[in-house]
Amino acid sequence: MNDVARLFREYHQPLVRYLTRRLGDRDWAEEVAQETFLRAVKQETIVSERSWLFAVATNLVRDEARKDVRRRQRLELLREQARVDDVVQPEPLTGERAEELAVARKALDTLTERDREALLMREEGLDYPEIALALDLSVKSVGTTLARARRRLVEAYELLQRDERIAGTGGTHAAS
Amino acid sequence: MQHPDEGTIHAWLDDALSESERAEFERHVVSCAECSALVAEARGMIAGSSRIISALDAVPGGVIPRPAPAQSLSLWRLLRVTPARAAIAASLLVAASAVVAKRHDTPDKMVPRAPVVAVAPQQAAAPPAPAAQVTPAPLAVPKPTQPVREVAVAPTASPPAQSPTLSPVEPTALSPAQRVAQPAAQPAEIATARKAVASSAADVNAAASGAVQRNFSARKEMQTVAGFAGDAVANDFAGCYQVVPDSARPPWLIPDRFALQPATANRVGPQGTVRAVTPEGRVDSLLAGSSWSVITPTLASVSFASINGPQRMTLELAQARSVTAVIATGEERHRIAISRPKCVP
Repeated sequence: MNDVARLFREYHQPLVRYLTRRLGDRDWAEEVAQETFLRAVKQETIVSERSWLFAVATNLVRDEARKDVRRRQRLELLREQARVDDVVQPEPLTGERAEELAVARKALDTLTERDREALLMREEGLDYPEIALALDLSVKSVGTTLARARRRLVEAYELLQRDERIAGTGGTHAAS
Repeated sequence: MQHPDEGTIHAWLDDALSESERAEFERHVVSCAECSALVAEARGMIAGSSRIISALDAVPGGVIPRPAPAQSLSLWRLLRVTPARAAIAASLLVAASAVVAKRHDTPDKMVPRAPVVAVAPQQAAAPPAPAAQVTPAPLAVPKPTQPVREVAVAPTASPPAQSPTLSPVEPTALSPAQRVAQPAAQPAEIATARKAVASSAADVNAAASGAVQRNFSARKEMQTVAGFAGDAVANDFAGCYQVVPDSARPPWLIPDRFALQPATANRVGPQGTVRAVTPEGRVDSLLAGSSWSVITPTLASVSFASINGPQRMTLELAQARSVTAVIATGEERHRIAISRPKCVP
C-alpha cells in the first residue's frame, strides 16, 4: 500500500475517535489505530479503504480484548508514570460531565458487540454497504441492526439516568 | 405497501434506501399517520443516540493533559500559593529567622545577653529598621528578564522567588508579609536557606514549564479531540450567524440564520446547542437534533438535523472573529459565505 500517508491523513482521526468511543481509552485507541495502519502498509491492495480499516481495527480490538487484563495493567502503570512525570495535572472532568460519561459508557456497554460496532461506525460516517462489509453483515440487515442499537442505547441511557437521579435523591434525603 | 419495519425507517433516515425503495417508502409515509409517528420517533432515536455517543468524547482526566495557559506557568499558580498562604509562610520564616538569630545571639550559654547586643547591634537583637527601609516592595520585585535565582540570592529583603509572570495583584497582597519578614540584616543561615528555597522553587518552575512544553508538544495533536477545548474557545464561536444569500442553496439544508450557544453545565457531553434566529436577529427556539462542538481552537463543527440526516458544516475562525464555513456533502466540500451579525438581546 503506497498511499498510506493519504490513508492516514483521511482516516486516522475518525478511526481513533471510533476506537476511543469503543474502548474508552484514548491511548489504547491510538495503539490499535497505529497497528491498523501498519497492517495497511503491508496490504497489497485495499478495495474499500474505510471498511477495511474499520474492520481491521475492530478485529484487533476483539483480539486485544482477550489480552485485556494484562494490557490494561501495563497501561495503568504507564499512565501512573506519566502522571508522576507531569507536573501540571490535566484538568479533571467536572462531576456532572464525568457522571454523564460514565452513564453513556454503561449504556453503550449494554449493547451487543455487533450493535455497538455498527452504531459507532455509523457515527463515523460509514454508509450501510461499508458497515456491512466491515462487520460481515448483509446490507439489508444494517438498518435493523442500527435501529435496534439506537433504541437500546437510548432506553438504557434513560434507565441509567433515572437510576442515578433516584440514587441522588435518596442520598439527599438520607443526608437531610 | 405494508408498513415499513423499523430498520427500513432508519435506512430511510440514513439515506440508505435505493431510489425505488425511497419513493415507495415516502409515498406510504405521507398517507400513513402511524408510520409518520414512527419516523419521528426514529429521528429522535438517531439524535438521542448520537448525543449519547458524543458524551463518550469527554476523555477522562489523566489521559490527555491540557496545556496550561501562559499565565498559569506562574510559580504562584504552580505552587498554589495564595496571598494568605504566602503570609503564613512569611510568618513561619520570621519565626525561624528569630530562632536562628537567637541562637547566634547566644553562642555560649554562659555568656550574658547584653554583650552580644553590644558586639552585633545590627543583627536580630537590633531594633526594627525604619519603615522607609523595609518597604521597598517595588524594588524587590524582579524585572521580567531577571532570573528568579538571582533575585532570591540578593541580600536585601526580597519576596520569596517570584515568577516573572506574577500577576500584578499578588505582590501587593504580599507586601505586608514582606514587611514583617524584613530583618535589618540577614544571618548567613537565613540567606543560605532562602537561597535553597528559591533555588528549589526556580527549579520547580523551570521543570514545570518544561513539562508543560513537553506535554504540549507531544500531545498537541490529541488536543483536537472534539469537545476538549476550553469554554473560552467555545465562546469564540458562540453567537449569531447569517448565511449570505445565494451562497448556500439546497441540497444544503441549513437555516439562513442560526445561533451557537456553548454547552451549559446541565447538558450532556461537550456539545453546544443551535438555535434559530429571527429576521430581527433575536435568538429563538432550539433547533432540535442540531448541535455543535469545538474541534480545535479555530475549528468548530455544526450538525444541523435535516430530513436527509445530519447536515454538517465546519466553521473556521479567522482573525477578528470572522469565519469561513464549509459544508460537507459526501466526499465534496462547498465553501459558503457567512457573516456574524450581533444577536439582538
